[in-house]
Amino acid sequence: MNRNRLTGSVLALIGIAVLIMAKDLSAPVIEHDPGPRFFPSIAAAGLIICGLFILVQPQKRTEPFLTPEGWRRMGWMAVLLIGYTLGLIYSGFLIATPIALYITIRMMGQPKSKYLTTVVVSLAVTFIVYYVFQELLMVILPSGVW
Amino acid sequence: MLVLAEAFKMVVQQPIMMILVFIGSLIGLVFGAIPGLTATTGVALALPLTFALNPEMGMALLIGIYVGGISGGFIAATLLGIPGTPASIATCFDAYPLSQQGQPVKALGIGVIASFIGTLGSIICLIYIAPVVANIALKLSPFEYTSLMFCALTLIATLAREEPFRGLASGFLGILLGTIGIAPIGSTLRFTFGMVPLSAGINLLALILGVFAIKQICVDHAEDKPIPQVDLKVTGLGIGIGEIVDNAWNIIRSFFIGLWIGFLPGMGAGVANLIAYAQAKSSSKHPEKFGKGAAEGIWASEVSNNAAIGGAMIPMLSLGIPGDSVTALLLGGLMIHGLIPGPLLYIKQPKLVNSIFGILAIAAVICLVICYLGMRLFPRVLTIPRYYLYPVLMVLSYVGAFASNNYSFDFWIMLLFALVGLIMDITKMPMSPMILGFILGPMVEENLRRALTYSSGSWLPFITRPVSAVLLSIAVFSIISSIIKMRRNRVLQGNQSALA
Repeated sequence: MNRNRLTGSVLALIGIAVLIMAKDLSAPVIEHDPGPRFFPSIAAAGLIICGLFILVQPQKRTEPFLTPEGWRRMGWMAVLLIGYTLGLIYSGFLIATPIALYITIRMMGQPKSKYLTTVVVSLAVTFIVYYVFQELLMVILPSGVW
Repeated sequence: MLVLAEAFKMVVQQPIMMILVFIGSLIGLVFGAIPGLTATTGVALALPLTFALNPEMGMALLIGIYVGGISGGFIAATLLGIPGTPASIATCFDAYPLSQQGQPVKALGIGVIASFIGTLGSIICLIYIAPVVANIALKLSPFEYTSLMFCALTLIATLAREEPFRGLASGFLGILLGTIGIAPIGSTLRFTFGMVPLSAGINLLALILGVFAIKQICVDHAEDKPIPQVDLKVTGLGIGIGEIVDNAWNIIRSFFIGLWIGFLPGMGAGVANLIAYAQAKSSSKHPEKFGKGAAEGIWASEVSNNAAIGGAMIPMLSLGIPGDSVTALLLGGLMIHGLIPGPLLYIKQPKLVNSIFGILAIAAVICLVICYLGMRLFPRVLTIPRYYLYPVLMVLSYVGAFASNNYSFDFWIMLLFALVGLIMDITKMPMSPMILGFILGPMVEENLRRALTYSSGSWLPFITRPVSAVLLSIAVFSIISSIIKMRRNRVLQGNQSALA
């Protein structure tokens, strides 16, 4: 399937899904108010129409977005981000951040990043960010659940 | 000018006031420059400190943070492609590409001058036309507001002239995203799928950090592009007078858009920059250069967001109605000391009102000086190896997403929108209409529903009320002119390819 057909179909399907979900929204409580389903329904209808127009547009020749190697790097980045998010939620900022920083710097900087420098940078950035935000600016950082 | 000069003198003669404005501006610039921290956060954090100060001193600190916070947003937008605050979203579109082309000093120079022009000009308007403009605002009803927002929404057609259906689809997606959470008027929960944190809607900061910061980090890492050669040589302000003269009309138009949007309650710099950017693109002789480092786009965004400062202060001081979230906090700062902003403030506290004018002007000058001196330092960020810079940005993005609501749920929202941004890049869907739809959509809905309730369901007042009719005509004209320009461009492109 070409990119236009895929994009158009997905957009139209999102619009249809919103229209179906909007039907279940409650009726207006105030007289003459079009109610909470009115506005999303209009936007969903607009999305469906645009999706259909995109679907029938002829596909222009396009370069691949990323090389296979690029997609592999993107995949590892996604794993790291999900891991860091879970780490922040469960173990908190002070534990998750230096580990995430170390892995990211090593992953992005291979082979230039050095082991010892990476450890020092990871720890220093974590404590500076923690001190500036939590202590100076009084911005709460995730403390974990354990 | 006499009033401004007097106000300026009044503040300069008190060293403690000058120190407070300086500290406030510096804090504001830092907050503005760090992605995820906004002027609102800065003012909110500093508000308790003003308990111990007198009203003038309190305002010196708070207004300094406000002006600095809005002005500083362009630094991260220019150098990192991440808007420091929502007020600088549109700055990213052109300042970052210009910076990546090796001209960060020029991009920053435009940001510095544009911010100064926007702030100072809006202060002058605040002093001289505040009561007149405030009176007009009182006469606006939900009909006019709906038409105005609709007029702003039609700019989506301008933002996406190259790919109109993709642009409109992106705008509709943004509008739909804006409907998530508690609906206006009846407070019905919409599309939350039982997730409590979604009741308040999608966190704008998490969305911005996802689509701009996290997505950009991932794409740059995946593409493994070399670091661009950066021109760090700074002469003067990084730009010439000719550049300002060439953009004079763009500056004036963006200034009035910013002033007007800032002055309307509930809108503010976050909306003003997107609308001014779209208008600049619509009126440009070279709209195809937008998004690729066009100086016009940076001027429009940065003049308008700073002009919104004075704009938002007009209803706050004249009527006691805040124009945006920061002025709501400033209002709180005055009320803490038993002062009620409104027409009586001008009569009962003329010294305080004059001090506020002076503080605003001095904060603008201080931001200009700090940013000017910093222009020699800021672009060096681009020479830091990416494998150190990007991990730090990743951590700051997480902190920013968490800071506004203290919900770990916002981490997932940020990641989700990084994925959405990536899919939109792959499918060549423009990002700016989605942001505009997301910000304006809820405002259009609320005013439209309110208007229809007032008119017993009749749509006629939208065209029978003069101001509303004019605004709707502008909207229709904007759509038609976009279609004509789009067709003309296609014919031109067709002719060029035939000649080739």
